Amino acid sequence: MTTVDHAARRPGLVDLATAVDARRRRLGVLVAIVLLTVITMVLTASGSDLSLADDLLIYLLAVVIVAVIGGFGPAIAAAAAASLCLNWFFTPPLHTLTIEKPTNLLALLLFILVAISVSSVVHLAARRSAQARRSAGEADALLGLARTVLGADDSPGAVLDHLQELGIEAELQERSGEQWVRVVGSATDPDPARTSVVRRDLRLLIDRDAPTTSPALIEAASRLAAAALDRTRLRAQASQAEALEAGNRMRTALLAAVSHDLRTPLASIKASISSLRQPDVAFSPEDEQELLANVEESADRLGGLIANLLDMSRLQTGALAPFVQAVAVEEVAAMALIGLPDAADVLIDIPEDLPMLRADAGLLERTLANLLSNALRFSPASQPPELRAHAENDQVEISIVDHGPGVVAEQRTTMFEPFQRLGDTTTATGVGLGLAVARGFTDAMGGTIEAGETPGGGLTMTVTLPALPASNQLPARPITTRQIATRPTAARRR
Amino acid sequence: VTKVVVIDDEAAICRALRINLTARSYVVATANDGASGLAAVARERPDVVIVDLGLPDMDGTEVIRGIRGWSSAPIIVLSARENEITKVAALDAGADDYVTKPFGMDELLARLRAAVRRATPAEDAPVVTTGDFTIDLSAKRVRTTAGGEIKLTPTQWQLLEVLVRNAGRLVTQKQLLHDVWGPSYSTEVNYLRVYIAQLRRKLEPDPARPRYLITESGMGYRFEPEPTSQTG
Repeated sequence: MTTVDHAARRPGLVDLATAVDARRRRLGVLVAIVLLTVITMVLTASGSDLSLADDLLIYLLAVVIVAVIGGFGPAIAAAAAASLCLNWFFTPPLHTLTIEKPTNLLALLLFILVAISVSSVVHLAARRSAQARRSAGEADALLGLARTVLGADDSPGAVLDHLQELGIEAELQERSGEQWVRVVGSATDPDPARTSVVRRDLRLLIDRDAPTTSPALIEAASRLAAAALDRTRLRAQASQAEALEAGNRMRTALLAAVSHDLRTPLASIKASISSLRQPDVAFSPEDEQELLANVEESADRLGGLIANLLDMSRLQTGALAPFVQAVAVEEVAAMALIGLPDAADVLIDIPEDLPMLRADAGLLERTLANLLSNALRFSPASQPPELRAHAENDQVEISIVDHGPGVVAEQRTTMFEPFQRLGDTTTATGVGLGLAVARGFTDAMGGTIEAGETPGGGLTMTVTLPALPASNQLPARPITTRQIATRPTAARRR
Repeated sequence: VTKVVVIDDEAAICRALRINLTARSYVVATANDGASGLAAVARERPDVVIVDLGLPDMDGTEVIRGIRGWSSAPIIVLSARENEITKVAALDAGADDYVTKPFGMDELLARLRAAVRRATPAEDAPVVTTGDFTIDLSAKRVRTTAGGEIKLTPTQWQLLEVLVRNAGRLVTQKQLLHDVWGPSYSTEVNYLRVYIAQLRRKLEPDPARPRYLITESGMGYRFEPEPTSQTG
């Protein structure tokens, strides 16, 4: 496979465009004037050592040079001028347009014929080679375009980039109602010289400054751009369909998990209450209390599940607006422990001088409650979980440490996804939403949450949140008792 | 006789409250939307009002403002939304306390009693006895149940007194700061944190799990003289 060097191809295209243009013709005429003048001056100044045949050949060389540079037209003009010069300066009688010897007249006529023939041959050859270069350049350009479209980057933008490398600024437009709307374009403000209509609703505008190019190249480019556009759109649709499919799978999983977890406590409530309402049986007061306790516990479980579901949907719809303020970890931790079974076992280690942190008290409480609930669930009875906090630079780290079975490293990131309760098929626990909610809340407060390993086995969850700046931590000035003493009895003031 | 008006669109909640409150000798009137709730309050002249924040016809906060326009009866808010901002708005509108749905009946009744007590203050400084200590507001003295005296600094005492005089009721951070330190300190929540922590170390059997000096996350503090079970 050959690689096409863009830098090498580009001058070829430029040659192709300028080979026959007026600039070259003007240059040919200029060269003709200069050459003929110089030759005439040199030959007349050096005397007439040379024969007329030598003079003829020298002029012929000049005409051929003009043909190569300026093409056919300037060459003919140069031949005519050269024949006049020869007649005037070199055929006796000198300095007249009459020719004395018939042989000289014949030589002059032959000179004109040869000059014209050579010029036309040279000109044709030049044109053929220019055409060949142009064709080769277009073939290269088409090959490059085809490669672009078939290769990795087959966006319409890539096609236009490719044209731009060839010096062609273009813009792909699509019809939207009555208007043409830019899809993609390399020209900032196109001044269209040509329009290539691909189909009724798609066209390619070529900028006026673009070098002249064969219509075939433009048409190919516009078709490739259209094909690339279609493929790009199809890909986008495919990935959308995939996302929808993933969303559907997630919803199905959610529905299955939720309906199971909702139905379990509901079934227990229904069973307990309907038992109590049976007219034909009398329960002992203890049994009655047990059934009623059953109802309340199940209701609490339902409440917890619904709270997590609502939190999750608030997170997913972006409807969460954290109310960030100064928060003391020990106070939030105490709140988080309320309502958790076996909360009394949790070991708490929060230094008294721990800075306050910037958080939403309610969200942090739910975060810690979810993490603690998880830790309690997996902790062996002999080793209760621990809640520790310490300051680290400008942040506060709150760690919830358990000595349970732990989580293998690979699962420590996926465990924060909703419904990822690890290998847990028992019905005693809620839908795997707790960790997802904890992470969502922590993110919303500008913090992080990380799962690590407890030394000796188990899981350590670390919540990191920004600490309140030190200047706000402690009373800025001593609070004098005089201030307080002068205040009237506080409670009556309301 | 204590009259209660309950404004809630959920019939089951109204029924449960009516049965419970009637059984405890309250006189109950219920309304199932904001407009009829305001009418019921105007008609019944209740001693305490219970308002749900999510009403079909108007925002519960509007109902609170409507009542506060002419009545100083204590208002307890029922909020299904665990959203501090909503609760703060309700408290700012003039509500006295809140209970988050779903709530335990014992919790609501405790709030109700505290609210009624506030409305009819005992003039003589009371003595408050808990399971672990006794507070004598007139003598400005705290004793453990065993009889030992707990010494408090003037600031600690001032803070405790505000909370105890509002026993069972939510006292917002702003109010505590205002009452103890003065109007210019109303945002210095770190003061509260420091002094509440000191009080807990002196009074609570387990300062890390306070039973008497309860934090209401982001809202304020509550002194619970008779802690209910904490499994709920």
